[in-house]
Amino acid sequence: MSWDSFIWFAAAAVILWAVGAALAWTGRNRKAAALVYGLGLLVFFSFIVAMWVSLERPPLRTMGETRLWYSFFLSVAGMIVYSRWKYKWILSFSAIMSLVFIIVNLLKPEIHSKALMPALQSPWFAPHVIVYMFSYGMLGAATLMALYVLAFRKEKTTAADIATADNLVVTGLAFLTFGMLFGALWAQEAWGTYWAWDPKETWAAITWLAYLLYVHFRIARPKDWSNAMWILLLAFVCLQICWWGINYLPSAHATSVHVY
Amino acid sequence: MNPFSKPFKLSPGFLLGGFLALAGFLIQVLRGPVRWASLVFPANIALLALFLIFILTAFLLRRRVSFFAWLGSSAAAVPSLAWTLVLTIIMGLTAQIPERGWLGNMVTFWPFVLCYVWLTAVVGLVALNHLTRLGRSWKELTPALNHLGLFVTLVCATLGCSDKRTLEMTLHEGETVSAAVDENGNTYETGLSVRLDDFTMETYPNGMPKRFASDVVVTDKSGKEIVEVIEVNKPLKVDGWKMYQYDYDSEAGPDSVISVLQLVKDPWLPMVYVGIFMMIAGAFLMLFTGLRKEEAR
Repeated sequence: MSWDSFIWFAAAAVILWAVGAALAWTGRNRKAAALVYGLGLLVFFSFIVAMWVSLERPPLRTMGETRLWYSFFLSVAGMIVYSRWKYKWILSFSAIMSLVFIIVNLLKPEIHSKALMPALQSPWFAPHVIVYMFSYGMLGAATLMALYVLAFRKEKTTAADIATADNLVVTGLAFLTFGMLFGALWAQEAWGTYWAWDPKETWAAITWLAYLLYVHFRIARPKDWSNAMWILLLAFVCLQICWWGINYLPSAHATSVHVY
Repeated sequence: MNPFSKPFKLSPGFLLGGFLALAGFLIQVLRGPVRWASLVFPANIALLALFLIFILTAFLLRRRVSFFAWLGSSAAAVPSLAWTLVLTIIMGLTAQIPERGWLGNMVTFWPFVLCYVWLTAVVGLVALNHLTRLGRSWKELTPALNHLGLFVTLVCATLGCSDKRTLEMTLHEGETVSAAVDENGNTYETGLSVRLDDFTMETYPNGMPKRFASDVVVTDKSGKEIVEVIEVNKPLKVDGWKMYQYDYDSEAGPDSVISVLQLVKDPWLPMVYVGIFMMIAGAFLMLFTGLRKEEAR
């Protein structure tokens, strides 16, 4: 399997996601919508597995490869939200978000060789990145919820809408914590320092603090949901800087071992 | 009117953060940056004791002194997190190169450090709040583990950083070495003697290193010989030292007869691990308990 076949798997997955999302809009048969959408996930995941096998390492090294997981987990998050809270729109949104990252991958695949430098050959590598990508997927869905609330729901916002954002953030935050701490344990094993304030680590801490700020603001000011949603948007900006924006930060280029 | 009395407000916290930043700035001007290197054993233990006494006192007096009650509430958590976030973002946007001045060395910048101390104090008080409520509900275990874990990690990582010793040991094939050099060029006797039998390296077809490793024989303090292969991600632990594969003669590449090991001794590391594993357990429980909501204020 190689990136050449990606377009076929991606097309099949996107068509299935589109059909599932359309079924969700009609609101008549929720099980069929979830089933078709889930089938799309299966097709997409089989490409990831095939890549894993043919690369002889987990496809997690390059930005293109992490985007693969992000597309996948964003759709997983969308499906979880749909199954639990039945929003008609969520499947369409998560599918469109996934599609954006698929298109980025098709236009700018950043294909790399099989080479994996020795520092990355660790049992921590796969859990560290997979857990982060799952978290990013959840927090991406929470961001969609915040946009939905701020742009469309406004005065009609219900406690249930905000509770959905809360649940997504709590799940995303738990996985963000796993990702950060697995990274620390790995760094300790690899070079004897669990935390070195490398720019990537600094931005990981910033992202973590921003979501902690959301959670504690929700506890301290439960009725002020509109400011809470703005914090959520700010936190997502921090997350994007941590994930890829850092590659464009002059401050990081000077010192980071994480820029790739 | 006491600004810290109930119902708790966020605004005094934002002011307190501003006051800490200003105070930190003044200390920075008058006394210079934070000198972490002087915070070695036993000074760090003394500071730890003082900090714990402060937190315990604040906790015990929380019903009498409204400031202490406020300090352990979510109303203090929000502004302390916001200030810490802002200062850490400044750190993320400025290249951390000490020669570039105060902002280039954020970890020694007083406003940054004081803000983190404030955050840590809040986290410690909240941990005590939840720990003492454990009997009431098992759900308290989630925030108790999260806050206590973070508290232990922050405190031990910070106070322990100057007790950590990081040395480099340069080995030539066939030679036995017992001394190693720190980042300032000072030589230390490690108490171990290390003989490099062979340095091996595999490369990818494009010449990029795939794996490099050192076959070593280490004699520990008791005279026991340990034959081991040290490679990246597979350190060796002897007499409290952790030995990492660190470097080699990169010009010679696979033919290198030199291997550089990094030796690390961090007496506070076990406590940091305790904190980290508490946070992992807390984050796991969080998936089931969700967001705890207090009464709307």
